[in-house]
Amino acid sequence: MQRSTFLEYSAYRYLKISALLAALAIIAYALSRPAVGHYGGTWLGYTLGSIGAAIIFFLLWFGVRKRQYQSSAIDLKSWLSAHVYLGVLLIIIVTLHTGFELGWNIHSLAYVLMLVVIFSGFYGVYAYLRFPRMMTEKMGEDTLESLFLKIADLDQEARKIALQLPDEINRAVLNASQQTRIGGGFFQQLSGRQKNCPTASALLTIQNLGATLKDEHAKTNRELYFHMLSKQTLVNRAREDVMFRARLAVWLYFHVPLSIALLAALIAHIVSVFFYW
Amino acid sequence: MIYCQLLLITRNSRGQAIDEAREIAGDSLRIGRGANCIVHLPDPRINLHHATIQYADDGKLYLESVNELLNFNGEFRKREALRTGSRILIGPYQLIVEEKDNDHDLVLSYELVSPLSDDKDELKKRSRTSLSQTGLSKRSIALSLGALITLAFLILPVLNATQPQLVSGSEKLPITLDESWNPGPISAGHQAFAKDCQQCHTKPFVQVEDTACATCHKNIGDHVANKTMQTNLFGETRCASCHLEHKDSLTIARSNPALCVDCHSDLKTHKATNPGIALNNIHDFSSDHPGFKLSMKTGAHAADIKRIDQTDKAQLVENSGLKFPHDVHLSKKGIKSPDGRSVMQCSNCHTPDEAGVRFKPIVMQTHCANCHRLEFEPAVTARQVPHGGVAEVMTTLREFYGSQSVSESPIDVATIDGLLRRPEQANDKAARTRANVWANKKANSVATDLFEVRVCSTCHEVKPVNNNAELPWAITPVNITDHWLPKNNFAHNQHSNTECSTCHNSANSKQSSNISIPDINTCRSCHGGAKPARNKVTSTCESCHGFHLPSHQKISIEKLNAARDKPTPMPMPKAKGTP
Repeated sequence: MQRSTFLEYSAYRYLKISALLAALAIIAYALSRPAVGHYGGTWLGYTLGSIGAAIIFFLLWFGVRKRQYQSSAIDLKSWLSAHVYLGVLLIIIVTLHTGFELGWNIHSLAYVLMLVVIFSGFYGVYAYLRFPRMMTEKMGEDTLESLFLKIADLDQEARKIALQLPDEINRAVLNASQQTRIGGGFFQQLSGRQKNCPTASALLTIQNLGATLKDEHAKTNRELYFHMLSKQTLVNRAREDVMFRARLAVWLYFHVPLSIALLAALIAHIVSVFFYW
Repeated sequence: MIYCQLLLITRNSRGQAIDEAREIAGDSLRIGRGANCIVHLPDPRINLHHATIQYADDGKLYLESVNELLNFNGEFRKREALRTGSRILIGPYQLIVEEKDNDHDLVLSYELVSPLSDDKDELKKRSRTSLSQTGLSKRSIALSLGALITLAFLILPVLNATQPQLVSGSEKLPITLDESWNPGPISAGHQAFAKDCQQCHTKPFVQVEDTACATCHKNIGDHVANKTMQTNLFGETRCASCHLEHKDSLTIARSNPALCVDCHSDLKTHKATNPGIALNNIHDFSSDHPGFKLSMKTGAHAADIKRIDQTDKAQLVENSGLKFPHDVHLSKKGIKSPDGRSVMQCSNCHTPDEAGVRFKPIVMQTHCANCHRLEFEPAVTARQVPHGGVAEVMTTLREFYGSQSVSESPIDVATIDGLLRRPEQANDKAARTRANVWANKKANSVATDLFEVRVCSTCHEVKPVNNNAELPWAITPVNITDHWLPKNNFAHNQHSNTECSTCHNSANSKQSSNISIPDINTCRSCHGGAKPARNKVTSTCESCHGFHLPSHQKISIEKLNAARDKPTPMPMPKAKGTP
């Protein structure tokens, strides 16, 4: 039997709680008719705002909870389940809190930051549900470490073969073994490619110059070609793995800093509202 | 032929050099990676044929590179003579020309000094396989973003409000430092000081107080005329409970019926503490708004006004002192006039006031005199009595006939001493007396005709006064109600798209005591309450009523101008113990 994900945790307990709270909020919003229209300053607005702020502080606490070593895996799974569903609930609660009034001010900044944080979280949920399985499928028995080892072996072998071949091929193979890299900068990791990959260009060189070679050299060159081809396959697999790792991690570069920005904006929002009451 | 001893130097684990000698010979010695090179250097960094050693014309041995420059004793040369002790770097190899012996032309040692490093380690060193290795730190982004937002949206606005001297110079910025706190548009009336939050928000963490409003808005009318009831009912109510700022760029006055209906739908709860409340509950104009009460003038004084339910027909009789049948004047066949039959319109007499809200008073001279002429002497149609008091009329008549009695060309013949003859000329005292007696009698008889029969009584109620020979009649004072519904702000110009007769049934009114003010059902034929039915007009409480009692409201211009000048810092709550 497949292990349940955090979304199905405890028979969707947090989904049910969130759906109930969302329904209550929507009904209260529909039934109340404030004299000047809905906004954050009606009694319902204050109530929804307080609930929203409480949920935000709770969700932020997850960041702290996650880093505590004592917490067990099951406990964390429950927290994550609550974190996700309450995040969705937050969109409804806080949108009703705004009364659909937006402007160029700290209040709307806090709202927009919250939405960006939540939607980056949605990407995170998607990534966690999808990428690890794809990574396992693609990597099979291999690990990134074993791929590195295999690539290094192939490099050594290819260099040895290339010693007998013309300088241009030899240089290309040497270059491929010394310049090819896995991952790299932020965007390179995410793209899963290396621009002007030395291994790819070496393959091209081997192919192009190979046509001019004869006899023994041609045979050697063909051998080299297959070596380099298997190297390229391994390099691509390693890069793909790094790409998945990057895509699994990249959303946190938005989710975490923006949630801290949201915390600051939320405090500024609450203080401003009561400072100029 | 070159005879050369080649020494391959390798090093053991302790770094000690071990020679491995090999004899080679040839006309030239090829150095390279290739199999055909006698000095075979198997490293990918070496070319197939990298260099050659051969004799030159000067009889010396030279080493010549095929392509690139080589490092000879630290200098880069393409070709160089080999001397004992020469050190040449070819790729990763170091070649040294050793002391030669008699058997050889050249003793050359070579050693791989920079071997290829471990491929896997190198690959790992080059590759950055996680985003955390890219130098981007979530923590530093988070902290800088958080700090930036706290500074811009919390610290600077608070400083601007409390310690403006610390942020002096910020006035020159296109936005004020606390503008980001503004949740919505400021109403048009408050635009003059819209960027100076402290004008209304006088104390931090305290709701806007009424005193802030009253600084400029003096003498605002209460809601209830009774002072005690006003205090009971609205003592705790802040101006800002209804007048919410930051909601609308046009107005801060609210027209939402919920603000009124909130109390007026349940006045019972207030009646317990305020027995003076005489109103019924009301939810909406279309459902339970009571019928109108008309404010009828009952006397000459301003306070002589009685509010009468419109359904109370017995009481609703206006005693204006005038006789005026609307039906005669508005007859479709027309009415007799000096210019023949004339069909009259309402607007012939009822002309709108300057605001177009109600109508100018009807004036005899302007509206009636063209037809209702005050002639008294058929022979002299140019003369009329003045439209005024009885005294003025009597004086005019007496003067007229007095002058006639002594006139050269009498307008009349009179019976004097039994004979029809001209009135006595006033050439002697007796005759003057007789003429005077005639004139008085004539004036009195014409006056009787004017007041009682022909002219005045057409419109006015005329009563004879028995004991006053000078002023034998009295006219009942005219007392017209000019505002029947003073508690509503009905404006005629807003209804100019419809005929007068749509609301006022005056064409059938036979008596001036009839009141043609339309009832609530007439209004409801178009006006449908806050949520009107199809084809009806939305009508909230504010459509007809104001909240504040009328008052002579003054905006303090001095305060407004002061507000436009320097903003005042907000007083921060003092810590306990400080004076």
